[in-house]
Amino acid sequence: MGNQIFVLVVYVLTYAFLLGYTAYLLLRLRRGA
Amino acid sequence: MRTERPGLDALSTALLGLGYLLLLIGFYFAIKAPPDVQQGYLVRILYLHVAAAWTGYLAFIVAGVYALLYLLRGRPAFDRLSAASAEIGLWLSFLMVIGGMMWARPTWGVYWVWEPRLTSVAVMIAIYVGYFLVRQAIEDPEMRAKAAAAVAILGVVNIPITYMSVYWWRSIHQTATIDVINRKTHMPPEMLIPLFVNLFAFTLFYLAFLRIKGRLAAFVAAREESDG
Repeated sequence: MGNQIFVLVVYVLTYAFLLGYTAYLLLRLRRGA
Repeated sequence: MRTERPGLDALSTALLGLGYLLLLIGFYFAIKAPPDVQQGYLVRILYLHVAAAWTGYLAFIVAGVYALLYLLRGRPAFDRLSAASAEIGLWLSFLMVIGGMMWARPTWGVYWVWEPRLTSVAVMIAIYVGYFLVRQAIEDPEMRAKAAAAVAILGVVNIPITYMSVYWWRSIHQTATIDVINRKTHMPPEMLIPLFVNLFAFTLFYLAFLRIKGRLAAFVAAREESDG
């Protein structure tokens, strides 16, 4: 069960990256730069 | 003349929307999938680790193809798309490495070991970090695009080496989940479904990111030209 922390880290990091990168690109589109 | 802001187009919106929907479905199937005989639920890392690895390779191959097209045709758009694809590939590779390290610690006992697959991945990442250093270092746009294209093509040469490293030099890293050369897999369908759904989701994200970054880069280039 202790190993589940590693799975959690990977899922949280991956989803955070995808959301963050999408937000970053949308923001750049909005700003036009 | 003022250049129109690019905005979010319909295709990018559709790619992103479908990508997020598939990511949710992939998560559902990953939770539903049975534990691995040896690794238990740690195997859930695979569904993201392999998806990030494959789309990372795809991004680098596309960067190489655009680099070659730039060298043949000389159109600046090819250079912009090559750089955009390489950048996304680099981010996906970082994600793949972090996922791999989180998987290695509980299974191998260490986060990193200099075995053939990990070493060839480190070389791959070094090549693309080098790619962006080259882009930063050269001011003349045409020289920069030509030098960067050479690095992007060199990077593609390394990808089959990275992919085959688990077969050529058997070591600690497991062989490919889906052996594309012999068309074989050792995974049951309950595990293949979350992998393929995530893989498809990551591909859609890659395409959306590439399209948006390409349009942004085109916009910036057009504005710089009109500003003189």
